Amino acid sequence: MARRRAKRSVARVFRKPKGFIGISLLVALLLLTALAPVVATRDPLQQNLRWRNSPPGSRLGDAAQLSLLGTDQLGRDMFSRILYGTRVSLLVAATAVALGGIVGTALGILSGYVGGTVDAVIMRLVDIQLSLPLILIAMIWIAFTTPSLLNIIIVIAFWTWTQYARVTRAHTLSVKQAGYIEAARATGAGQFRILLRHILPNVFSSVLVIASLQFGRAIILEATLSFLGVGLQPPTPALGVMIASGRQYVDIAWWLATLPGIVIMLLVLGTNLVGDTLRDVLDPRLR
Amino acid sequence: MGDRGAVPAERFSWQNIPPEDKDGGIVEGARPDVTGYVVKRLLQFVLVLLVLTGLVFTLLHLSGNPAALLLPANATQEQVAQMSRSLGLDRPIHVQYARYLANLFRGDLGTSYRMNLPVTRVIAVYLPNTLSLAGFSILFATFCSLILGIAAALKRDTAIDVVATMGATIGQSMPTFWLAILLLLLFGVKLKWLPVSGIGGWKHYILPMITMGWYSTAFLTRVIRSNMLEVLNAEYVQVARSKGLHERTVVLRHAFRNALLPVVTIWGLQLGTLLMGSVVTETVFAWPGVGRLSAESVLGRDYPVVLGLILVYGAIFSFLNVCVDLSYALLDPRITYR
Repeated sequence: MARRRAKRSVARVFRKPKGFIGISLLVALLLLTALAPVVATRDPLQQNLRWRNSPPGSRLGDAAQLSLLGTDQLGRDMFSRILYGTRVSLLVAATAVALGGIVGTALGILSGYVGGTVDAVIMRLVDIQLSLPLILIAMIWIAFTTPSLLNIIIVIAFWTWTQYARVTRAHTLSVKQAGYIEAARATGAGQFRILLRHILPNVFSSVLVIASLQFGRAIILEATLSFLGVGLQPPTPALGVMIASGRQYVDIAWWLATLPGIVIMLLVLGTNLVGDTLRDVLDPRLR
Repeated sequence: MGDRGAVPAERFSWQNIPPEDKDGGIVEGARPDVTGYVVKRLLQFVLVLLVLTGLVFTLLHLSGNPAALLLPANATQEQVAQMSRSLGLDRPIHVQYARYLANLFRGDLGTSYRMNLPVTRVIAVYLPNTLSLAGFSILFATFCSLILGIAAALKRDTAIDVVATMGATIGQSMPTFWLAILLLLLFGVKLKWLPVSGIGGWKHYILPMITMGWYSTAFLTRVIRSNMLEVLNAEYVQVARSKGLHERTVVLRHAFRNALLPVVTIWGLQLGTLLMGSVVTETVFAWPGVGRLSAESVLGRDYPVVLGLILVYGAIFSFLNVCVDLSYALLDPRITYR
């Protein structure tokens, strides 16, 4: 039954204009990045200084091969770099959102279900985190460890867990009193079973909504950290890194910094539209 | 940064229902304990900063010796050792931390490694530039979003509404640093209307102000629009209308004030976004503020400045959070503090 409900929700998201545009955007971008090795035949790391800063639409080399989005300051193909950069962004965002979601949801349910000291400690942690200068802490953490993929994912997950924790705690508190929980307990179900089979499914739609809205945020965070020099490092084709290095050539080669940004914007716009619609469909209380 | 698109949180204990006595009547003069609340928040703040500086201190000192970074690459072992000694870096870490705290209570945050100036002086020079920029950005965002949000709500489903809503949705999806570069490219490089870096006359404020306030404008526009729509359908607004009041009076006196309360909540959450915005905006526009200073200090491993900035940011955050919480009581008398 749960599966049928999920299917119906997806259909409802698809029927709303906002959701339709969002899903189409995401599907198009995902397809392009999935097919990157097929559509972008140039190596994103291959430099060619003779071709550097060629504008979009240039025909390069003896074969006069079309360079759709031009080349960067080192003659690397922008189209390839953007597609491979989008792959990295999606990988980091998806992992970070999953990690933050799992930790935040687990702590939120625990906080709401157990209550008492556990609840007080977890909620105090949430409070404290909200008053921290997180960008500074993220920069310190990455700059003073190593800017590896894993560290960036940890930082972004750390940044996002609080919202899951707060929302799932509130839901758990209201679900906990329901008759069916008592019934489950009366039939001798263990605590763990109650948490997993009765409480988790009830908070799941909210978690899904938050995750979809956090996804865009995670993409922007990763790009920002990379832009500031404490995220992914060159020569990795990351969108934030590309914008940072293209910035110096903004007066002679506008496409270096603008094009990767358009892709970030479309990605975030797509996930935000889907997230907004999901929220309207699944969980209007979150508004 | 604050929670992007976050649900307004109940960040303090509040009771929507006035306290009642045994007969079920409302207790007269149940005054909110503002002082107690502020003291509690202040103690929590001190505790957090102690833990936080301790953690950062440990992290910074585990990650390598800054003395080696301060000297030229060809410095000998001996020179590094001497530099460490002169900076007090050869002592055990708890001794260093204790000394840091002792100095902190005397108002001494140490000396910047890169600039060789007292940290307090460095921050005192940079902080006002960030505060003035942030202030203008908040004004810009509030002004624009109020106009756009209210116009969109009053003219629901017209072209104005569609443009405002779509613009806000797209605006929210743009990374701040990219927007900064777009503005710089358009108004600075192509049109040459505005200066693109540094600080000077009022013209220098325009691009950084728009950049920093952009996300908040987009976000607040959507929030204000949906709040206004909700409030405009509320019974008390219908009553005000049916009394024959002028529509402008209804909107301004009855609807607007009630739509403002959730905005204040979100304002508090936007502070974090503004902070992140300041790091990025100041980096792109070479603005001499604490945002750029923090990026440079972290990358340049200037520990004393980094620690000082965490303290300053933490203090500003806590102060503003308390202000936001207290302002609820002014806007909504039903709320009391525990």
